[in-house]
Amino acid sequence: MTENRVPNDIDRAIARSLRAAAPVPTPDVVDRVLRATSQVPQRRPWTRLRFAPLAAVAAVAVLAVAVGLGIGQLLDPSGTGDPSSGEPSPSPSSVPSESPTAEPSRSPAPSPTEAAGPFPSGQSCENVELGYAVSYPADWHANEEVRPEDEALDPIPACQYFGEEPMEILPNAGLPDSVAISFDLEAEAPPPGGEVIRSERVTVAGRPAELREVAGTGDGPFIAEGDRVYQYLIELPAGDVLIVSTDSTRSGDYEAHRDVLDLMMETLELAAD
Amino acid sequence: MEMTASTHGVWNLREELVQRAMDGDHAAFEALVRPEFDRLYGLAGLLIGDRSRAEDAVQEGLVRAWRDLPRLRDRGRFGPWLRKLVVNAARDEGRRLGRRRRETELTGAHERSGPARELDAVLDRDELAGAFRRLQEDERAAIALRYYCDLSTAEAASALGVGEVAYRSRLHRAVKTLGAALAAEARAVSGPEGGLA
Repeated sequence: MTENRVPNDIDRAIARSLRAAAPVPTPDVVDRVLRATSQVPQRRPWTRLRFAPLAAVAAVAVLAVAVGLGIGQLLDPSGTGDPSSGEPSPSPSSVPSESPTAEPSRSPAPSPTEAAGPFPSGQSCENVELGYAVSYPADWHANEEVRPEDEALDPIPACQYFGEEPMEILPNAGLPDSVAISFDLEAEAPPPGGEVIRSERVTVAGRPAELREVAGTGDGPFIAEGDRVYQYLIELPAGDVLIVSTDSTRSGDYEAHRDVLDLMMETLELAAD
Repeated sequence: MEMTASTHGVWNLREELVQRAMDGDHAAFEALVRPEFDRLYGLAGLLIGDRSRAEDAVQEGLVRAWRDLPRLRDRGRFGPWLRKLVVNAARDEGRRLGRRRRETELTGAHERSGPARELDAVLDRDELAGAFRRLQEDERAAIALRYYCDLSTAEAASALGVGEVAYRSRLHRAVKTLGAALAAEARAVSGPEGGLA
C-alpha cells in the first residue's frame, strides 16, 4: 500500500510543480505568433510536387524509342532504315542518353558517384523525390534518405542537404548547423525577409532563376539582424520554385559555401521540363 | 450513444478544420491552434527554461506546422504532429541557448535575462522544481509530456520520436531523480524533528 501511495504522491507533486513553473503567454503573444505563421507560404503536398521522377523520364524515353521503331517498322516492313543500303540503321539520337538523368539511383542512400565538371574528383547524387541531379565537392557530404516509421511524419529524400561534415536530419526538426546548403521546393517564392543586397536574373539548368542575397534587418521573423542568406530561386514549369540556399548561421565559412553553391548550380540537372 | 455521436461529431469537425488548413485556410489553422497554444507555450517554456525563448520555439514550431501542413499524411495525427514540432523546436532552441550561455560564460559576460531570472526563481522555489531543471534534456521532455501535457506513454513516445520502451525508461529514470529530490525536501522540512528523535 505504501509503495502504491508513494508514486501517487510523487506524481501529484511533479504535476503541481510543473503547472506552477510553466509560463503562461499573454494574448499579444498568441496573436504575434499566429501573424508570423500567416506570412509563410505553404508547401505543396508531396504527391502534387513530384514532377516526373528521373526513372519515369528514362522510361518515357525508352517508350518513345520503342514507339518510334514500331512506326518505322510499319512504314518500312523490310526493316531497313535506308532502302538504298539494305542495312538497318537506327538513329543514334533515339538511344537514351547515358547522362546522369538517364540512370537514376533507386538506393535510399545518396549513392554519390564521381562527377566531372567544376569539382575535381567530385561526387554527384540524385533527388528522385524533387527531381534533380547535382554534383558537389569530393570532401562534402549529402544527407541520406529518412523514412520515419511514424506515417504522419515527413519522409526526407536523399540528396537534399549538403555540408562539410556528415549530418543527421530528423523528420520535422530543425536542420543541424552542419547543413551548409539545402534544396527545397515551395509553391511560390517566399518574401526576402530582409534587405535584398543582390538580385540577378540568371539561368540554371535551362530554367529562369533569381540569384538573391538578403541581409537580415531584424524586422522579419526568420533572418536575424546581420545574418546573410544567399539563394537561387529556380522557376519550374509547373509554377513551383526550387530554392537552393546557404546562410551565414551555418557552421563553416559562408563565403566559401556561396562559392560551392554557385558551382553546384552549374552542374544542376532537372528531371523534366 | 449520444456521447459517442457527439465525440464523433467533434472529431469530424476537427478533421474538417485540418483539411481546410491543409488547403490553405489560415483561419482554420488558427481555430485548431488557439485552444492548444497555452499548453504548447508552457511546454516549450519548461523544456527551455526561458520565457522569451519559449515564444521563439512555439513560433518556429507553428511556422513549420503551417508551412508543411499540406504534406501531413494523416489528418487524425494533427495534434501529436503539432506537439512534436514544438518539442523539436524547443529542444533546438534550448541547445542554441545553452551554447550561447556557455560562450558568454567563457567571456565572463553572462547575465540571465529578466524573464529567464523570473522562471529560475519559480523553478528554484523548491527542491523538486530545481531537480527538474537539472535533469537531462530528454528526461525533462519525458516528464513534461507526461505530467504537464497529460499524455499517454504512446503519445509521449511519439512526440519524442522514440519507442515506448525507451520512453518508459527515461521517465522512470527522471521520476526516480525527482523522487529523491522530493525525499530530500521532506527530510529538510522534518529535519529538526528527525534530529531530535
